[in-house]
Formats: sequence, C-alpha cells, structure tokens
Amino acid sequence: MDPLVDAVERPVDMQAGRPDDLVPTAKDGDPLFGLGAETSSVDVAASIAGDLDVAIAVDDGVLSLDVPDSFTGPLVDGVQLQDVAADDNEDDNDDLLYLDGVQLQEDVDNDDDPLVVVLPAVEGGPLDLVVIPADGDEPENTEAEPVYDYDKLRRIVANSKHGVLPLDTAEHDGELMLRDLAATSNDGIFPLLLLCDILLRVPAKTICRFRCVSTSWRSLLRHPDFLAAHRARHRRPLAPLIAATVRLDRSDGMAMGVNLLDTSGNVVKKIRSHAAVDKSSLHGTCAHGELACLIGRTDRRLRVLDVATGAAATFPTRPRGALTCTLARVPSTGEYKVLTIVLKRHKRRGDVWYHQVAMVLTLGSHGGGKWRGRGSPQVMVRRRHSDVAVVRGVAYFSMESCLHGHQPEEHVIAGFDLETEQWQPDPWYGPAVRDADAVDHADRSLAEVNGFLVAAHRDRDACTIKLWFWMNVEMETRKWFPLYKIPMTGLSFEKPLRVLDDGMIVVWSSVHGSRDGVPQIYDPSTETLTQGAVTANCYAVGAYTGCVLRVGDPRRHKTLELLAAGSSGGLSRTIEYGYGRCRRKKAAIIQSIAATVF
Amino acid sequence: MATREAGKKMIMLKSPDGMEFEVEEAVAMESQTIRKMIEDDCADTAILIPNINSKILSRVIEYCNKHVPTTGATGAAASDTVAPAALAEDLKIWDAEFIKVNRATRFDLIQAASYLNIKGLLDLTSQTTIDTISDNSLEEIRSFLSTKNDYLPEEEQTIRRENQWAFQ
Repeated sequence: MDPLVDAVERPVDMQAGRPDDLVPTAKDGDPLFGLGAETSSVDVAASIAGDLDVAIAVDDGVLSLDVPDSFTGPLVDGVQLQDVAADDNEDDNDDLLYLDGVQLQEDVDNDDDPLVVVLPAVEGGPLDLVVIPADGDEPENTEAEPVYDYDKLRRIVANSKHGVLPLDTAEHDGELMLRDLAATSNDGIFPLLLLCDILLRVPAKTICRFRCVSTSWRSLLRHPDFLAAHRARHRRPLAPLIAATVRLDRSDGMAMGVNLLDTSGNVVKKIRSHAAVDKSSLHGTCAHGELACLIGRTDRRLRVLDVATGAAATFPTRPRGALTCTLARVPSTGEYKVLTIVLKRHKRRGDVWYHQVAMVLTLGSHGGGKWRGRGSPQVMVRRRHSDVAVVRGVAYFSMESCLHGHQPEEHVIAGFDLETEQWQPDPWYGPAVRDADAVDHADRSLAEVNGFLVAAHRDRDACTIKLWFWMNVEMETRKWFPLYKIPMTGLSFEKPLRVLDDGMIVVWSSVHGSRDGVPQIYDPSTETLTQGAVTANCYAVGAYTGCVLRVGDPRRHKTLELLAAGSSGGLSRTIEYGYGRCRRKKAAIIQSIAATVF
Repeated sequence: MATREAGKKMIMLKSPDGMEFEVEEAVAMESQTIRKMIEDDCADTAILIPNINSKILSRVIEYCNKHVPTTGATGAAASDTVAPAALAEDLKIWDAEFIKVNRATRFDLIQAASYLNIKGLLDLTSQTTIDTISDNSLEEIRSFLSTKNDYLPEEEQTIRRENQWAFQ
C-alpha cells in the first residue's frame, strides 16, 4: 500500500460532530513528501501514481487526468479546479483545491484503496493532496468530510503542555530574580547577572560540576530562580529524557537502578547507590514524571524514588496478588497515588471464580499509609505496566480478552479515575481493529504520550505499529487519529514515549527475546527510523519530565515533601504509623526527616 | 548629522577615550540599548558609550555592520538572490573568525555585548567561553575566570558527593 494513502486515512469517527478547523492547509514551499515545489505536474503523477501510469496536467486551471482503461475510477477528465478557500474560510487555505463534483475523501466503508494524487496548485506552487475514491460508486454524501492535516495534529501533540509537569516555581521567561544573591557575591571577573546569563547556556550535567567551583557559584547554580530559568531555556533538549529502570547484576545478587537516558539512548545520569534501590525488585516498576516507583524484592515494600536527587522513601507493602503498581499524580490536588489491580479468588459451593479489585494508596499526608480497595472493573483488564496509561488523573486499562459479549475487533478500554477513586461507569472503545492488525489482544497496548492517550496496534503481517491518538481537536469531539505508522524491523515495539517539537516521535523497543531496550526516533516526514544506544536489562521506561538539576530542598519542592512524608530507612515505622496520629507534629517530623534524608 | 540618502540616517557613537564612530542608524540599532535611546529621541547628538573603550567598540561596530539585516541595506530584491542558508553559513564562518581573540578581549566583548544588549554577539561570545571552559578541570575554570575557591576541604567533599553524577 502506498504510504501516502495512509497519510490521509480518515480517522474513525467516534462521536457526532466534525472539526472544521483542521482541513489541510497547504504549506508554502513545503517539500511535502520529498517533492520540491518546482516539480512539474507530470513528474508528480509519475512518482505518486507509480505503476498506475496516470498522467496529470494542469492547464489554465483545468486539471486533466489521463488514466488507463483498466482503471475504473470516476470520470475525472477535464474537471475544473476550484479554489474554495476564498469564499468561506479565513484560514490560509488559499491553495486548497477540490475537484469539482468528486468527493475528496476516502469512503470509510469502502475497503478499496483510494488513489492519491499530489499536484501543485499553480506551476511551481505549493503541493496539495487530493483523494479520489478508488471505486466508481456515486458519492452518497455530497458534503465533503475534512481531510485532516496530520502534520498539524502532530505539532499540536508536540506543543501540548499537558505532558510536562508544571515547574515548582512560577513561570519564568528566562529573567532572573536574584537580588538576595547579587549583594553577596561578586567575585571573579564578571558581575553576577552577566555570569548568570553565560551559565544559563551550560547543559545540566556541567552545571552540576560547576557547583563545585566556589560557594558563590554553588549559591547561584542551585538557586530556584536559576533552575527555573535554566529549565525554561533548555526545555527542548531536556524534556525528552527517558527514565529506564534497569537490573544490575551484582556480586551480592540482583538489584534495581534507574538510568536517565537522552533520546539517543546515552546515559545522562545513573541513580544507584541508595540502599532502598538496592533492595528493590525485578518487577513492578514504573516511571512517572519525576518519580520512579519500585517494589522491594524481598520485603515487597513499595519504594518511591526521586530520580533527580536519588532520594527514596518507603511505603507500606504491596498488596498480595498485585503484579505491578502505577504511580500517578492527581492533577486537581497534586497528590501522588499508587494504583494496583489485585486478583481476588472466590469459592462458593465448589465454584471458584476470580475478580479484580483496584487498590489505591495515597502517598504523603492524607493516606495514612493504608491500601484501600476501590471496586472492580466491569471487564477483566490487563495488568502489565505497559498496558496501563495514566492521562490527566485517569488510569486506562485494556480489556483482557474477548469476554462479556465484546467482539474481538473491539479494543475495549476501562478507566479508573484516581481523583474520585472510582471506575468509570462504562467501558468504551479504542480505535477499530482492521482485518489484519492487532486481532490478538497482545498486539494492543495503551500509553500516555505528551498528555494524550495513545493506543498502539501492531500489525504483524505488515510489521508496522499504528499509533492512534485520542484527541479532541474541537470542543466536545474526541476521535482516534492515526498519527503515526511506524515500520518495525529487527526490534520489537514496546511503547511510544514522546512526540518531539518537530513532529518526530520517540518510541521504546526491545531486542527480541531479551529485556535489552533501545529508544528509536521515527520521522514521519522521511519515514525513517533512527536507532539509539542499547540499555541492558530494562524493566520499565517512561518519559522523564522533571528537572535533573533539582537539589533536595524540601521547602520548595512538593515531591520531596512527599518523600519526606513517607518514610526513609530506619525511620520508617515512626513515620508510617506516627503520621496520622501526630498531626500537630507534622512540620517537625518533616523537618527531622528532611535533615536525615538530605 | 550627515544624511547621505533617504532612510540612511547616520549616528555618532563616542567612546570614553574620545574616539568617534559614525555608523548607519540601522547598524547602531542592532544594539537594543542604542535602539531604545534613538526611539526615545535621546540621540540627537553623539551618543556616549561609557565603559567600552575604542578598541572594543570598533570591534562591536564591525560585528553589527556584518550582522545588520541585508534587506535594509541592499533592498529586498538583492536578498532574494542569495540563498538564506548560504548567507547564514557565511556569517557563521565570519563569526568564528571574529571571535578568535585573546581572553581579555573576549571578556570585554561579553561585557560590551551585555551592556549594549546585542543578543547575537552575547550568544556568540558566551557560547565560545562556555565551549572553552566546559571540558576544563575545576582548577582551570577558577583560574580562567579569576574565581577563588572558597570551599573548606570537607565542604568541597560534600558538594562533590552531592553532584557526583556530573563527574562520571
């Protein structure tokens, strides 16, 4: 199948309504699909239509297609080109062309492939996409469906702020407020503010090294305003970090650690030596935002690790029967909660049956260190950590198998709201599964990418992964958009991680038959996949959205407060049980622990 | 004020050591500080640039002359004929040559760029400095920037441990 055909594939309409603002806009001089703006129309026809041997000519605004007899498409010879943008749309759609009397979109009920033609609107001008139904059926719907501009949608995803945790301090535009420092330090040859301006350009790792230059440098380089400004400035290269939980083979057995990787798979930072990490298990890990969640191997205790500082806190043991734990932040309250699904066995009059129960633990102050049972989902859900996606405080699960009267081609999704701690009343549907792809439930997975829920469907025959983004591009209208179709060769796909500013996407893959993982970057404009460095023995990966420069300052950073409110090391009992009872001592406890931990 | 032709107003810049430089207004306005002065009508006579000596000021003007947008100087038609990419490449090479100066001059240029608020020049000089010191040892950085190490030995040990990952 021509890749271009898929590029304009119509999204599955889940609900009524139709976004009007996303009709494709022609990009000036954009070498769409690798064709230069100077390409003559006949060249375009030859390269796009391929062996169909269709000749296209644009003469004085009249398009003519010369098609072979075997082609049973609609009559297209000599149809008039229309410029529809001028009359009703104020967007820069002036170059958007429609074919007179021909429906432009693929008929969704029609399995035949549409013919895709790319033409310049005027000679040497920008290129446009035109889709003609491949069969000769009369178009029933005279009102044209919009063709979505997937480049534009990818850019929306890339620029989404939802995926980035808010800065701990107020928004900064790079200006610094360092009055308290300016008075004290002015050594060296530069005034402080100028020095600051220079050092803001330095990458994070070098900043950490520079803290050792002198006390005034240290004060500057760990000042929250400096960190915020540095973060604002380096957001682009810093944002797509990957936190990978890895197994370490040590002389005294196995242990877990967390590696921070850049998008090429190079290690930026390793979190190792902390005792809590050493004791943690091989399974049941997840990375979310700035925190990683580990489960003790021997004691089954839950540990939460602050990836930036390496600080760890210990929480009550994982419930019996829980495979994995999902750590998530509730956006409305800022609380961190851990969710796990346990399998409960029932036996009555000789019958044995199982049902799943959601268990929730609130980290920090209000949870009281207790797991709470919060009801069963309406369908059996899959429990591997790669099957859970948390988007804006709701954890989404895929249905385990074709039970409860659902058809195999339906990708059923159940959601658990972490704020209300209730299952959503009805399971709903993921993108429709086509004939060949993702019939097996193992080939469907969910993920969170840049704050969007993403369903990944694997097509084993075509060796591709299709990534569907659940987006509401218009108020009240949400649809699944197939934004990426990624070829998979040699490696097995694990999960999508992050869409970069330029529309490229970082996905995590693993080497067949092992837990060695590798990040890959897919560029939809060139359809190329770039492979990064391999990390051995990875158990869980996630996009890291925190700031690696952060230092332990419990007064300013909520996540550290949270860790302090949990427990650490030998103090664990005091905190877990003492916390709820001694509310008045809260501040003192936090401070004493903070002093111990940091 | 000499006005050679319409749209090419000249501005006089004076350094504290008495040198005067006549530059086109468009060139002078590469500096946001001077632009502000011109826009506030403080630039009727010569503008005195304090704390930047004539040697550095002449280099700054040289930079601004090179970096002033070409459309203003040569007209839109001329800039269309030169591919922007090639132009940028040219500028890059010129910048690299321009910044090949000794340490003291470079620091003076940083301070001048900061005072005159010329973003491109500040970026260039700061980045070059950063590139120079990034791979150096702490001791080399301290001597390069004339900063004293005022850590107590045990303090330095602690702070090194805290930022251990940066030394790996």
